[in-house]
Amino acid sequence: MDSTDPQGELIPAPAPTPLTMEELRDEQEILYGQYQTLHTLLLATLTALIVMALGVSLFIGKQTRIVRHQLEEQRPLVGKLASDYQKNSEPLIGNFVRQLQGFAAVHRDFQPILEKYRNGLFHYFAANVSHPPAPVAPAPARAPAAKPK
Amino acid sequence: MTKHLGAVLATTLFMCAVLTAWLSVRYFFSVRELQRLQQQYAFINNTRSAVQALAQEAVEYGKRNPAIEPILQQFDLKPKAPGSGAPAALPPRPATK
Repeated sequence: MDSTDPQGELIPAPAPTPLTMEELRDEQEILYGQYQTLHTLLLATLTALIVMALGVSLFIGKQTRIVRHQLEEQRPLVGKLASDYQKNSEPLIGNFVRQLQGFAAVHRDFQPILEKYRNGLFHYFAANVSHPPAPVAPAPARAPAAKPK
Repeated sequence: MTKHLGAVLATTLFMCAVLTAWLSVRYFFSVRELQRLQQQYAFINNTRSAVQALAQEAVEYGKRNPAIEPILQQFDLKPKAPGSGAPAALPPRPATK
């Protein structure tokens, strides 16, 4: 009765009674039924995944076709535009901005007009920073250019 | 037949996954190239409109301060006065042919 009694642990557990053939068959049928259910579930899941993957593939394929069609249309147009721009417009714009910067260095009232376009044309401004004197720099800014002579 | 159905379905799913991955990669690179082209186009357009606006303002400024006129004339933003040539130091404008 006492749980601390060492004799209690020595009492062997009752041996499992062997199953009868009928019980064994019942267990087997239950297990087989569970296996069948699991197998059916797996097949259904796989089928659903295949359907989903095919749907996603179809969608991405259609999108890819649309994008590639746009690409084929736009590539030559933008290429021509870019080469025209690089060949004709870019040197002209660079020259124009450079001259305006030089002008603004002398005529300070033009400086605010030019500054408004610094963000939009920063490529051309950045390349020319060293050519004219700094727009807000004090008068000695021109001195280094005259020194070598 | 039913025994192999699982394997067949798993193989099909794997092939579908590979197909989806391949299409996704193609889509990704196509979209990236399209974006690059559109950025290039937008850059050119923005630059052109900014230069046009700047030229417009320079022409307006030229009405107040005629000192800017040689620059405007050089870039054909203002018609050259007859008899007054552009300064020799200014580079000739690019060929228009």
